[in-house]
Amino acid sequence: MPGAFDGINMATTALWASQQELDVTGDNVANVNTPGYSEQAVTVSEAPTSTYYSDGAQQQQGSGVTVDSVNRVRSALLDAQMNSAQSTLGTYTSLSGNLQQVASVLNDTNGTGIGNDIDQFFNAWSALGSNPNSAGATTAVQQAGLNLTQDVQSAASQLNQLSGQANGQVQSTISQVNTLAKQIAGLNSQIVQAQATGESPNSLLDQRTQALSDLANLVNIQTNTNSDGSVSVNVSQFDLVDQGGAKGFPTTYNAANGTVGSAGATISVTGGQLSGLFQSINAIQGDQTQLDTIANTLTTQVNGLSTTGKTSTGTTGVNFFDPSSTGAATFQLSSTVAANASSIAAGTSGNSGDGSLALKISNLQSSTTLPGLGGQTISGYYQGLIGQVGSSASTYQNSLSTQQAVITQITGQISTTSGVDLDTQMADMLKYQQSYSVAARALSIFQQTTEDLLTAISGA
Amino acid sequence: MNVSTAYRYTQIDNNISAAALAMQNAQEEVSTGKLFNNISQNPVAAVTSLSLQSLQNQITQYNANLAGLKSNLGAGSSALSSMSTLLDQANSIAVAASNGSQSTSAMTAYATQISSIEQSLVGLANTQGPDGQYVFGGQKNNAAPFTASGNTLTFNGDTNNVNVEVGPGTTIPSNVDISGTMTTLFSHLEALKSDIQSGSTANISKTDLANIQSDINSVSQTNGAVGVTLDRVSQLTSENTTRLNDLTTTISNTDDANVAQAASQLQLAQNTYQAALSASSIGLNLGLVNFMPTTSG
Repeated sequence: MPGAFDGINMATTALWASQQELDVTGDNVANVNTPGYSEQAVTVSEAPTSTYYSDGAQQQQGSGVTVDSVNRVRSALLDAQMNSAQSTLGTYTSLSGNLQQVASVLNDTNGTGIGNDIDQFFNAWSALGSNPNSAGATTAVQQAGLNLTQDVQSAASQLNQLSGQANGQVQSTISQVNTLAKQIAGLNSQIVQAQATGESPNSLLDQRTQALSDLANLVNIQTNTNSDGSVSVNVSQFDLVDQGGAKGFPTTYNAANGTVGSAGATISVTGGQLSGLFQSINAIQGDQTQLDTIANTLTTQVNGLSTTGKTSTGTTGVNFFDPSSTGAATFQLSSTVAANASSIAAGTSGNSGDGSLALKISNLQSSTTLPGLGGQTISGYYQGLIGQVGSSASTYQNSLSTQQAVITQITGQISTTSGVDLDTQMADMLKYQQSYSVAARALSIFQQTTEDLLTAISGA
Repeated sequence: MNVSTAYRYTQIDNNISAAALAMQNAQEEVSTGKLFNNISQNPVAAVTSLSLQSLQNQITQYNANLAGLKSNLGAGSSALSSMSTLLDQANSIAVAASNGSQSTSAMTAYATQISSIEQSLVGLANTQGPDGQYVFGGQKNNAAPFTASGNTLTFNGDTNNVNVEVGPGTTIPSNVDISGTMTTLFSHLEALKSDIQSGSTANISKTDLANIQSDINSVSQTNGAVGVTLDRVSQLTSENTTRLNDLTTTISNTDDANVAQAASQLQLAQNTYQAALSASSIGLNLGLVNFMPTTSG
């Protein structure tokens, strides 16, 4: 026999369920802009039915609705895809950013850069060789040498600064990796505790998903979900986070090898911003080496000739560039030449009309046999450097755009599954509001019925 | 399909940013008149342009060298022409002196004229170029190369060339070596002078006239050679000028924006940006919440 108050009980469960559904919808609306928030959904099922015998037959009657759980709608597959895409995005973000800055330093597009300086330097020697008597031509050689050395030095010092910046970014990235690892380990233990008591720690899970995605942007990671609900994180076989907590990610690194950690226990970094930073540092290093080659070649070759010179006043053995300079950073005129343009010899005989030496120096410009330049002229070698810097910056910029499109696409897919759509939430809210109203109305009818019954009994 | 509100806003944001970036690039192209302002925008064109500019710089220098060469050789050539004129005068004097009917005073006047011609010739042989260098002094060109003392002429210069670079590894001397010619003709004029003074008309007609004729030939040959070089200088200069013009065009084709095209692209980018903004403002206003009753029951 069904009980007299079954209807009231049933309507009450309906009120509870609608109330909870409205709460969850409200929560979804509140978190519409929260990064990493997953839409939550209430799972309800029919409450256990009760069985009774009536008219000699077995009858079933429902007892309302039960709220089973509040679930977050999430696809583990998409999350894994997102992490991997984030690692690639991180790499391209730092590479593109840093190499774009290198391209700005060496942005020789309006004919006023080092390329022009090299031309003007050799042109000044050509003019001096062709007119060795002109004092103006000697001063022009000194001035052209000064412009060249200053511009090369300035480029070298800016590249050095960029390299320093990138190294600084490595330090802060490693420290961010450690912060996120600790955060993930902390969330792991909270999630394990919550799940052990049968709760659904949805917001903790969202936070962990977001932290993992952030971490993937910094360094290549592999994740594995353990049976207790915790997530283990590896960076190239190194256990960054396991069930025991977060391990310290090494702060020592070797950019050239693309590894962190000291010898014997190195971890190779193959993705994320950290990898991009290592590659940037190496690229800047490569550009610096090429700039050094230009400076050193000029110093060696021009000095090799200038020291054989003799001015009309008999000065001999003058180095044009400072012979003690090593590389582009210290590339400068020798103190003798810097102090006095008339110490520059145009010839080797001391005759005022001997421009043979100046012409030999001018001819260095078209020489393709200078050691260290790979069979190119000095200008050609410099143009090669510019081409390489420009195309790396351009390539990584394109890669970054492509990867951003990939991220947008995955974000779209995740959004389709887990994102909050206000229109849907509004529609749901109307539905739950209606359910609540109807349940309340039912309750009031049940209450009226019961009261009528009581009145009938007491009136008898 | 469920599209999250946050994602919709992000997409709108991305679209507006992309349209704004395209407009900015188009604006930059129009305002700078250049196809690229950073080597990363077009690395291949940037390097091409750089190497063309380098070539342009070199050729500009060769033309500057050629201009210096032209004025130097021009000074030499006009000195040589004047020398020829003077030698013609000496020749006329020798012819007049050789006929044997001249008075002693006339012969003395002829000798004086020859002396003066000698002085003028030495002056011309010490001609200076635009930078003060002596055109006929070889590499020792900062002091007068010829000094006449009594009946001897001394050459203080040398016979080394002052080479001017006119192309990669190509040079043309800017000096003219007349040391041999000058020494010979000076001794010939001295001999003529002495024969006039001594009245040796036979010597004048037999030897001196022939010598002076040969000196005239040798000076005009030298001048002819300078003329050929000057022609070559002009030819090289004009070839270089043509190449410079071609290079300027090529560089402009590599570097410079087609203004009409760039302007229409800018217009297109502006329209796209405006469309993105207006589509977004319509999209952003839409939402079920706007159509729901504000108060219930």
